[in-house]
Amino acid sequence: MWTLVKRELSDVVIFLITIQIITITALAISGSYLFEALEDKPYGLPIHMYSILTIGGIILTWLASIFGCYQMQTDKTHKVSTFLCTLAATRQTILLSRIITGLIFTLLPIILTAIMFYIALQFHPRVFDLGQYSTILIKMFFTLTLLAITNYAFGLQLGLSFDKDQKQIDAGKFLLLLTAISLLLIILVYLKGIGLTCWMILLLLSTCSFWLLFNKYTKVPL
Amino acid sequence: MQIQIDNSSNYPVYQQVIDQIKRDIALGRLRKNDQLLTVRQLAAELVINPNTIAKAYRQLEQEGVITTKKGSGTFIAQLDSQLSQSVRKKIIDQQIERLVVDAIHMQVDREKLSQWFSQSLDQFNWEQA
Amino acid sequence: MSERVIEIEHLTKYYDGRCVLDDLCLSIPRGSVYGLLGRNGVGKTTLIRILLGLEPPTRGRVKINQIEPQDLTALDRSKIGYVAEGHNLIQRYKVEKLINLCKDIAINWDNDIFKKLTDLFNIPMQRRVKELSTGMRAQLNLALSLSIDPEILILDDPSLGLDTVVRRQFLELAIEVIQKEGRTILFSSHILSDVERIADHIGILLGGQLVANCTLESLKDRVKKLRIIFSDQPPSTLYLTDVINQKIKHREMTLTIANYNEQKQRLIEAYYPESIDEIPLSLEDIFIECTDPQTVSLSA
Repeated sequence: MWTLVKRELSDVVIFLITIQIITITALAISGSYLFEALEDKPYGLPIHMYSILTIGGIILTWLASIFGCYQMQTDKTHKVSTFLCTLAATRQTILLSRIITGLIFTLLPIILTAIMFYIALQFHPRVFDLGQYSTILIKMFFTLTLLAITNYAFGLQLGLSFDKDQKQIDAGKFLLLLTAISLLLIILVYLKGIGLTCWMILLLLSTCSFWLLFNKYTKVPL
Repeated sequence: MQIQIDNSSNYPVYQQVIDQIKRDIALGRLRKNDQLLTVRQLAAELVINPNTIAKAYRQLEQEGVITTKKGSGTFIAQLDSQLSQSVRKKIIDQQIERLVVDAIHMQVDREKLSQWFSQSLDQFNWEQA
Repeated sequence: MSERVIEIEHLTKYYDGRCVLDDLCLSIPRGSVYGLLGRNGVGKTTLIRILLGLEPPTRGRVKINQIEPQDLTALDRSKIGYVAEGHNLIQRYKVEKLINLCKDIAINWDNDIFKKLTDLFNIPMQRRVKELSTGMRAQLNLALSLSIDPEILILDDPSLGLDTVVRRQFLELAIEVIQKEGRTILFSSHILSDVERIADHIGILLGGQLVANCTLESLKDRVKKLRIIFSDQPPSTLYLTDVINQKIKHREMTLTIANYNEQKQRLIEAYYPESIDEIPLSLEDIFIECTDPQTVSLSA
C-alpha cells in the first residue's frame, strides 16, 4: 500500500506544490485580515473570521475538486491503473492509495495554516485571550476540512466519469461545472451555518460520493 | 545427437523425433548404451514444448528402443522388437509396395531399383538387427 | 492445484452493439501451452483483457485459477504474469522508476532472474519507457513478468515487431517457464511458426467464435488437404461433410476437409478419381483455410 501511495505522490507532486503555495497564500492573506480585525476590532470578530472561509476556503475547496479530477484524468491518459492492476494489487488498494494521497494534500494546507495561526497567536499577547473564539476557530477549520474532502470526492467522481473522447461536454464547461459545485457547497455552509447540521450534510455527501466511487471504480473497464 | 525438426510439416513433431532417433540408431550414429539428452535438455535445445519430447521418449521406451534408468538418464537399449515375425513382415511389405509403386510410376526399371536398393542398404548399420 | 487453470463459460462481449465474442467456451489445463490464433481485430486482446479483469464481460463467466477476475486478491495476481508487447507499461516513467515500482509491489520477486534478463536484453535504465524501441519495451515487459515467477503467463502478441533473435529469446524463455512444475502459458500470436513450436493446444477465433479448440496434434490430424485428379470434369460437389474449402481447376479438385477418415475416403473413391494425394498442411496453412468466412467448426 505504501508503495502505491509513494508512487501517487511522486506523480502528482508538481501539481500539489502549486496547490500548496496557492492555498497557503490565500489562507495567510485571509488570516491577516483576521489579525487586523483583532487589532482594531472595528466590525467585531465573527465577520472577519469568516474571511478565512471566504477567500482561502473558496480557493481551497475549488482546488480540491480540481485535484480530484486531475488525479482521475491523468490516470486515464497515462493508463496507470491499467498497468497497476495487472501487478500484485487490487483496484481497491489502488483507489485507496490515490485517495490517501489526495487527502494528505488537501488537508495539508489547512493543517499548516492552523499551525501558522496558532504560532502567530502565541506571539500576539493582546489577542492571546482568544478563549471564547477558539471554539469558533476550531469549528471553522473543521468545516473547511469537511468541505475540502467533500469537494475532493466530487472531483474524483466527475474525473472518473468525464470522458474526453466521448465529447459529451468539453473541458472548459467541465471546469465551470466543478466551480459551480464548489460554490454550491460553500453557499450551503453559509446557509446552514457552521454547526452540526452542516457537518452532517457534508459528511453524508462525502461518504456517499466515496462509496459510489469505489463501486464504480471496481467495475469500470481500464 | 542432432535432431532436425520441421515444424511446418504435417507430420507430428513427436513422430519426427522418434523417427530421427530410430534413424540415427539404424545408421550407427547412436549405439547401444549411448546416453540421450534429457527431455528438458532436448526441449530447450530444439525450443519445443517439453511435452512433445516426453511423448516421443515414452513411445520409444514402450517400443523398447530406449530405457530410462532412474538417476542416471536415458539410454539406447538393446533392440528387441516385441512384434512377431508375421507382423514385422506385413509392415515392411507395405512399405516395399509403396516404394515399388513409386518406382514404376517414375519409370525406374527393376534392375535399377535393385541397384539403388542395395546401395541404400550399404549405408546402414546391420549389427543391431 | 486444480486441473483447469483458465475457464471461460459462455462468454459474450458486445462493443457498441457489435458482437465481438459470442458464447465462447474454453478451458486451459494446467501445464499446457495454449496458442490463441485469429486475425487482427477478431477479439483475442479483448478475451485476454476480460480474463485479467480489465474489462467486464457482457454475459458469461471467466475464471482464472478458479477465481473470477474481480475477486482476485493481490496474492492471486502475483501469480499471473502479463506481457502485452510493452503497451501496458506506464510510458512516461523512466525505466528505472518502473522497475523499482514493480519490485516494491511484487510479493515474490526473483532478482536473480531479473538481473539475468536485463543483462541479456541490455535494457537502458535511464531512458523513459516511451523512448524505448518496440522490441526493448517488449523485452522489459517480459523481464518484469518473468521475475515474479508466475504460475500463469499470459502473452498478448508478444512477438509483434520483434526481430528474429529476440523472438527466439522469447520462445526459449517460454520453454524455460513451461519446464517448471505446474506452469501454464496462454499466448496469442500472429507468428504461427512460433506457435507451432511450443503450443500443445490451439484455439482459432473467427467471427466471435472458436472454430477450432483442440490439441495441435489433433488439429493437424483432422484437417487434411487433398489433391484429387479426375479423368474428366470433376463433379461440382462430392457430398461430403466438413468441407472447409474446395477449388476446381480443369481436372483437378483441391479439397480441404476436416475430420477426414476412411469413410470419407471411400466416398471420394466412389467417384473413381485418377489419384488422391495428400498435401501436407502446416499450422499456417490450416489457419488460413480455417479463417475463411465459410468455415466449419472443429471443436474437440
